Amino acid sequence: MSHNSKKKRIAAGAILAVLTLSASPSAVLALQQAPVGNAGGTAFCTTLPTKIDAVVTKLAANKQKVQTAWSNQDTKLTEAASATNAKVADARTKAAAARQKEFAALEAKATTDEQKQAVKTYEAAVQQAVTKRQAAYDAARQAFRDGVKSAITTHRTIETSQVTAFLTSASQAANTAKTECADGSATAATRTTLLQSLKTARQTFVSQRKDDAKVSTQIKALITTRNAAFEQANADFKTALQDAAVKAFPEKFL
Amino acid sequence: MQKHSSSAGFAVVEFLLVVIIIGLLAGVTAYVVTQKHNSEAVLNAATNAESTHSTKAAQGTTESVQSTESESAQAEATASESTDTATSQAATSDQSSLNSMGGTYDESQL
Repeated sequence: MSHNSKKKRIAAGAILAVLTLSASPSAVLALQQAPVGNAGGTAFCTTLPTKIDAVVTKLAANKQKVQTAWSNQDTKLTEAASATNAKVADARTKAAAARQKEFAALEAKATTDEQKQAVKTYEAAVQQAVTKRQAAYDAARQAFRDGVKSAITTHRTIETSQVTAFLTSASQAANTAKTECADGSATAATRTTLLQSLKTARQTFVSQRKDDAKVSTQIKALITTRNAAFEQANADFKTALQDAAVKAFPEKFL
Repeated sequence: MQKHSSSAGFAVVEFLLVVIIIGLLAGVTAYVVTQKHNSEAVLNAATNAESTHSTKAAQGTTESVQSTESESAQAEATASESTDTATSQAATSDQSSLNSMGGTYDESQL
């Protein structure tokens, strides 16, 4: 019984000691600021330069990959624009050929000088309407491309800022830890601070990336705007052709 | 015993012949049905094309000009939209490299 009582007293004393130590800020501070040699900091400072340099190097390499991605992005956008230009040119060539066939058929039906003049007037009006429609299409396409370019430029500016802040924060944290290790002032807190700073820098960057407005959404809006411009140009074109027919052929011989 | 064996062999040959004949008939029937289907498809396509052609205004009228120009405008619009997907993909092609930056390091390994 006496033996058990002694055990209980020892256990209670141990618990009290642990609680006291944990609740005391000065005790915690003392642990954090313990000489590096006593808290595993020596090993930390020994391996830090190699490990942190690898991190900084990898960050720089990934930044370079972003630059390369932007360069490739420019190339792809240029290629897409060129492909569109080629297809549009082809479509216009075919349209011009079809138009000439129609004009030839119209001219074949005109027998009197008056009718021939009316056909010429009509053809000129049609050609003018075509030129106007094509100009509207060109403007809509250019506005679309300018919009895409603007959206991308804006994003790159934001992304550059995010990347720079990330690299700066990480590098500063790394340099602080390296300096403290080099001049012998490193404590256990040096490692804790470094890890926390790196974590904060990384999480901030990731968070900013998620919060970014999506370029794809902006592109969809630009496509919708461009197609609406096409539709408007088509409606204007149709009206122009109808007006041309009424004006050129009031007697409707064609 | 020998006679019974000969009779059994003959039955097998008969059975195989019946199977072969049925197989041939099935093959010929399938071929004929397929050819008939293809012919009808071609005929329908030709009829549709002719129908479309006949409903389109005759060449050399203001209606035919309007129709031709409308088709040309649509063709140009389609050409303009043909690289939208490529443009959208290009516009977001940098995202993977940016996102991977967030995983450059694992600070807990330091």
